[in-house]
Amino acid sequence: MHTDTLSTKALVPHTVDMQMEADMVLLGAWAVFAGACVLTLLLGAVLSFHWYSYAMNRAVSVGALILYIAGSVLCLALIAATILSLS
Amino acid sequence: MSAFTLLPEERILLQLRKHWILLLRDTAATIMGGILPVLVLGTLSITGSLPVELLPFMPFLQFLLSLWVLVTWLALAVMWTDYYLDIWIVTNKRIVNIEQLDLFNRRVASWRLEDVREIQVHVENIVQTFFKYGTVEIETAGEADAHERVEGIPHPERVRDAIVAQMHTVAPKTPTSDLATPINATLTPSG
Repeated sequence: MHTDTLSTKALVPHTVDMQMEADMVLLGAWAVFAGACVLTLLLGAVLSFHWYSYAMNRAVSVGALILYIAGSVLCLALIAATILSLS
Repeated sequence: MSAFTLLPEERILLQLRKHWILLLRDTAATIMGGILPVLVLGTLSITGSLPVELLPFMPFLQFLLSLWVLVTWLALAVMWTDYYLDIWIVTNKRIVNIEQLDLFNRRVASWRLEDVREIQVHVENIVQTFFKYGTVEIETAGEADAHERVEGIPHPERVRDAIVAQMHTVAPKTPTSDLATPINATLTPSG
């Protein structure tokens, strides 16, 4: 009984440290996710500008934009899902 | 299309992109690079041969892989854009090469047909021979002699023939032909 009380006391700071570490990792992962979203948006804006300015066929520009948005949303959803599984 | 505007009485004879096999090659390589780590990790975890030391880091590895998939997707989008916006146009007056070098670097070059001095076609290896594409080199005369090399042109011989045929229809503006009429006009009355 005495031994058990001692071991529980010893574990408490360690558990708190681990929880803080996990929270920090999670925060970092969400920060990376936010960065990925910004990068995807910026690249999408640049590519759309090119498609609409220089492509000779407007239908191709629209198709490319739709495909880009769909693929990007899928990839970002995958990242978000893995972050949620981290927590 | 703002980078290229037709001149008065100009019409497009040929409009070419690089051969599709080049896009397929680059796309396949990028997809392989993107999928390979996912396949390796998936296979290792399914077969249970993943090192025990790595098991606690599995969610983190999955996070990194999902980021890698996004990077691959973005690379594919940039690659396709680069392919789609590279165009080679032959009109009845000139040859225009529009090249998207990277995202913020676009180059548009054009040569008048009467300035074209030499056209060379190179089909250099078995892949190019099989898929019927190659390199077209154009040498032009002018104040600064230009030498342009465009790779991955489908059916380069046909392109060369079309340019040569069009060159014959364009009357060359030589200094002699420009001067001939006034000199004769001056000489005739006195003679």
